[in-house]
Amino acid sequence: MREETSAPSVLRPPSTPGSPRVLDFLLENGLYVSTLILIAVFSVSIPVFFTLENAVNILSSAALKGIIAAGFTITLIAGLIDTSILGMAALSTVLTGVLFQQLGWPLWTTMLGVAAAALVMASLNDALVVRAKINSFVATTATSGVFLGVCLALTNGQTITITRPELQTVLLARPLGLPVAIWLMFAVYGAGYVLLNHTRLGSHLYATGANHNAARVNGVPVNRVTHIAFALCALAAALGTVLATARAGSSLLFGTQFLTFDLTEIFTAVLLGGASLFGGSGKIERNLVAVLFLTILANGLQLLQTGTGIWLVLKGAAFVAAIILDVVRQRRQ
Amino acid sequence: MHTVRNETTLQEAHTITDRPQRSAALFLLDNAIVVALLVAVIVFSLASPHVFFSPTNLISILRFASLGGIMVACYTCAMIAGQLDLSTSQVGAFSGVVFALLFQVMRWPLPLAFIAALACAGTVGWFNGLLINRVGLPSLVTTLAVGTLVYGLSYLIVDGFGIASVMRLTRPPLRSLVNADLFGIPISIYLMFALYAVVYLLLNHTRFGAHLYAVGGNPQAARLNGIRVPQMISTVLVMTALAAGVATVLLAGRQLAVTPTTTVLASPLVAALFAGVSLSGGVGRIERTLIGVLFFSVLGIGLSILSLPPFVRFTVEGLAFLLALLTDSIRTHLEQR
Repeated sequence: MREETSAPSVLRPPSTPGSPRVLDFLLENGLYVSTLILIAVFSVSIPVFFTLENAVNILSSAALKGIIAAGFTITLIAGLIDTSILGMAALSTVLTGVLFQQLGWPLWTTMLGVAAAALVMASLNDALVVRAKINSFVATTATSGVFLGVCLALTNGQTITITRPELQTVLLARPLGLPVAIWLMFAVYGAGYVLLNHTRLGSHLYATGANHNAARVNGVPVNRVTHIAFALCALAAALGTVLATARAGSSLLFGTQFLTFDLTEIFTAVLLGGASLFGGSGKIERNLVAVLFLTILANGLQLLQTGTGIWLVLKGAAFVAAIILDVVRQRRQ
Repeated sequence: MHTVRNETTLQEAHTITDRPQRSAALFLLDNAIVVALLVAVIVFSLASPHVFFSPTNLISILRFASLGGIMVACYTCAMIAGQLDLSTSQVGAFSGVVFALLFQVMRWPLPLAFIAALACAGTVGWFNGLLINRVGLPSLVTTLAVGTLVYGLSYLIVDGFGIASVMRLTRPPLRSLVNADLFGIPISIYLMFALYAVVYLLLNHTRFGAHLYAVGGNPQAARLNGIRVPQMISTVLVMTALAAGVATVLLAGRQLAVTPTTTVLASPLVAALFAGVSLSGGVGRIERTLIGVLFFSVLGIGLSILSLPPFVRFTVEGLAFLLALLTDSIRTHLEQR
């Protein structure tokens, strides 16, 4: 079918003769260029932008979304779209509140409990996609609704305020001057990089996403790969959410609204980072830059005190641009 | 993989293969929505016998169903053509906000403001179609992205004109017009039934309808047979956007207010899917969609009569979505075997 440049085992096909090099360069590095331009513009126009404090601030916000986006990329590489990250995040934050605050569990068992719940949710997604053969996008949209329903049943729509200090003292500590979340983000991306580029599972993920049937015929255990991809995505969503919960000091669900991030933001970041909707390609390290790009944009607009409308329009435009870029990139390969 | 699975070929297939067990299973699956409606009616009428069958309650069930029903009617056409539109909520709210801006703030006459709001909705639908046809992405992601953009535009309008995020609609002709009754029945109910009648004729007795089934069942074959697939796709997406616009403006007229998050029906997809319209396109009947819409209305009104906590309704709807997906999956599986 399609040739995948990102799959480590496949050689990059030579670009077609006479093709404009500029477009190739931009498709390859446009993200880095625009991030730098954005930083330059904001540094000139906003005095407090280019400070250490604001940089740490940007990195911490980016960390929460970045960790979740890392898991989302892995599913996308495997050819799956897991839209239930929202529902999973909601259930993770509610469970953190219930287990840690209301039941008084120690921090480490709370985190294990949330991780276990994430794995259960991943299995449900997996069952719908692998057993019932439902399109992953639609199946996970349905499960996301069910997870939100469970959250509401657990809390009756109330936000749980976390007053026990342990969660925040541990997760908001600053070893070597940087918050734990940022270290964890780098750890997740490091692990993701090694997993995708230097392990057999990594190449199986790319192969499954690129061509499911061909992969199966060639002996890739596609069902197990799918299961692992969903599980990693769920675990990343849970980790990112527990960190966000610690940062906010309360569970993050207001009615049925989960406000810390939304699906479209993660989607935009991952597609801007070059992962494809069609599966089989994507580099996790670029994600990080894309998440930073969006976070810097949000941060700069916030400091400039523009209204919500402009940020929402820019976010939507970035999403539309990202899907168009995805197709342009696919066609050029 | 994809075969044209409209009703006639299905029935022929049954008579040829003649496997009674499978036909029975398929018959049940196809009519699950009728059974579900009957069960819901029986359960709620037993739970609250005096309230449920009162004429006011029956009218309120139909009234509750009408606006969502208008959206799902067009949504069914889009799904039959294989297109899933996730932008309906945002497009609806957008045209509601545009309507409020023109009618309330700029004092345009009602019909002009209404047509302009619908034109905006239609443009978004056309843009969805353009992206799907030209860029070649699946409708799911395209409409999700466009929905995000349009949601931003609604906020931009609200921000830009310095209006409070709840736009109140107090100018006189709107309220009396939208809430008018005819023989004691609200006008939106007539509108819904009229639309279903039109769509029924469109799907079953016109060339356009036959082409929709063909496009959804097998786009390649449809193209080879000379059907203009891109135009069909654009048309159905404009239809869903227009229906969302009409329904939201009517809702705004009922509530006398509109916000960028006003939603008539959070997920027309669930209602249509539950009524047996297939995710994979090429299958679906509008009369069953109507029953599906009534089912969700009975469910909603019934649960609110029983005054259960709001999360129960949310969870029930989530589970209904899951159940509908599984039913669709089983049916597809049975038909392909």
